[in-house]
Amino acid sequence: MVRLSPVIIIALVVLSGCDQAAAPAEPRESHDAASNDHHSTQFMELVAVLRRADFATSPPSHPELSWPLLAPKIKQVRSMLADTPVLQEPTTARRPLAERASSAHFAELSLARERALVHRAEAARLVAAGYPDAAVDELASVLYVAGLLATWGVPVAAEASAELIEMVLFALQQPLAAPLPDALSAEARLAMLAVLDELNETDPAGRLRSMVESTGERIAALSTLAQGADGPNVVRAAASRYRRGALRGQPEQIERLLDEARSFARALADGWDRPTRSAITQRLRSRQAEDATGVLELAMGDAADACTDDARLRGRISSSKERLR
Amino acid sequence: MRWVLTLAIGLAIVPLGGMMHSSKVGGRPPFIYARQASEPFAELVDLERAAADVAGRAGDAERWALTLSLLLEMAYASDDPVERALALDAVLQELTHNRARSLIQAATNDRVAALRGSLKRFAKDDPAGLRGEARRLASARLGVLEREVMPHESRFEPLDRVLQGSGWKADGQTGPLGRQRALDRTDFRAIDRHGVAVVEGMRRRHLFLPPTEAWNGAEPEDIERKMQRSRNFVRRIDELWSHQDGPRVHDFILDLALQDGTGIMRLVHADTTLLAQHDRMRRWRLREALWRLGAP
Repeated sequence: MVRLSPVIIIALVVLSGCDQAAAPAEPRESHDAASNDHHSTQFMELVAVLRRADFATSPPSHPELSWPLLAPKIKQVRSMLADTPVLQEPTTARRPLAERASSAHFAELSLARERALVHRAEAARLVAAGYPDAAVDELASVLYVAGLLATWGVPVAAEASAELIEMVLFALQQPLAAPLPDALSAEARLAMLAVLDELNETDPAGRLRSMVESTGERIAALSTLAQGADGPNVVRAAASRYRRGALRGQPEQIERLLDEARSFARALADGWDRPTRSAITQRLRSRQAEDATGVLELAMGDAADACTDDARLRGRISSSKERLR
Repeated sequence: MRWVLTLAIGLAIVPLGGMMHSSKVGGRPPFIYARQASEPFAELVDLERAAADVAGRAGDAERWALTLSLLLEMAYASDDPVERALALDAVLQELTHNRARSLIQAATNDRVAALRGSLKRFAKDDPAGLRGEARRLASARLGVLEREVMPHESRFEPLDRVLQGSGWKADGQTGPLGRQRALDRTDFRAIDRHGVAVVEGMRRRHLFLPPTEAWNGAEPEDIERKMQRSRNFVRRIDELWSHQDGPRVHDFILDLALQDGTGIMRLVHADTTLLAQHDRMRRWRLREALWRLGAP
């Protein structure tokens, strides 16, 4: 008969207890997963309702979107927001010439839009309920999400960021009969002003940053491609996606166009907040149209449009600030 | 009978700015395009329209005007743009008919003034509220694409799934997905025969290619850029909807769609085009009806 020491006996008892405790863990996990699924489905359903609502119009476009029916749903989805995953910066795209944003970017962007929409809806609900000051916090949360997206350095994220900022600026003009700034107390107005002041003055949505980063990557990748054995043909194949029937350029010509793209990127970055930018964007557009090889189009993409749109956005931000002052 | 059919076709394609297919809250999947007014409402409008027609034929101006006023009340009271459009179109059709001139002259001044007042309550630039509906529909479509298609590495199959979920399948399960529907819809009837003929071959091929096929070979960045372009266009719908001096909203869409080999522009904005075209016709009729009723 083997004699067991008390320590070993206790250890065996503890271990067996652990086994027994571990046994029902699986159903609990599956239960958690099921409840998470249920949670996310419910969240998505509520967000889908909000997506239909046009908080600017009255009467609402659909009977189900009238305030008595909509407000409880907004409260519910706002309370669920704490349990939704926090945004994380995705990894960058792997092929700089074929994609600027990875699949993960789009998944996160979708989450960001949902999050912003919930904050926007809550702000509208608070205004409708007679608490305009409380709506400022919600609008600040939308701008926080926009600020996160602006740091990703990806054009599609920058555009989404700009859209969220515009959402806030639009919300500040609503309702048309009595715009929000008129209803705010002095403190809330200052708080809103401070939140708007926190936006980067030159590059509020991160368009400049994304233009610089994506253009740099593309020019480097194109330069490497052009130096390869079959360089001009490979460049033509890539460029023909944007320019139907793109011509095959000589290596020197491609190099010259890449230098030109570098100069345009520098000039756009330098003149982003100056009136000269319109001349630069106009020149870039005309050069892109003239360039039969499509290299400028491939390297610079829609940088000119982004620059023009950003100037408009900055103008709207400054006029909103004036309105708040 | 022809105008009834035209109206029915026009309204059958009016979509609902709606939900993703997993969450139908008071709506339909956003990629579905068969959208009609609710059945009881449509029946009611049909009854009143028939009554107005009978009164008009009989030359009973009072009853004719009264029925039209009733139809206008129904349109104004409805929250649903599609229902509003259905009832309003019935009135406008009647008011722009040849016989309307004599009926208006025969009706009492009070009745005509009431009709004019009711008609003036509708916004001249967006009488049925379909502008917002088109905007919401396009946004919903973009949202679904971004949420359910773009996050996947292979985007062809998820798109296929989303469109299938919305019934984008050729009738009788024959032919490639979406092709029959795309042809049925005659998405780009704005192009005349000559216009189609001069369109460059590849572009023309892409224009009529179902989106699932067009996406199959497209590079991710191409899709991303076209999606962004579609999204930017959503922001411009409001300003372009009733633009009188420049190209119309459907001209813009057509132009963008012709440059879009991925088909996204068509996928997202095909209904915007159709809604805008029909609404333009509706605005013309509204203007003419008001003029006939003596409004300045």
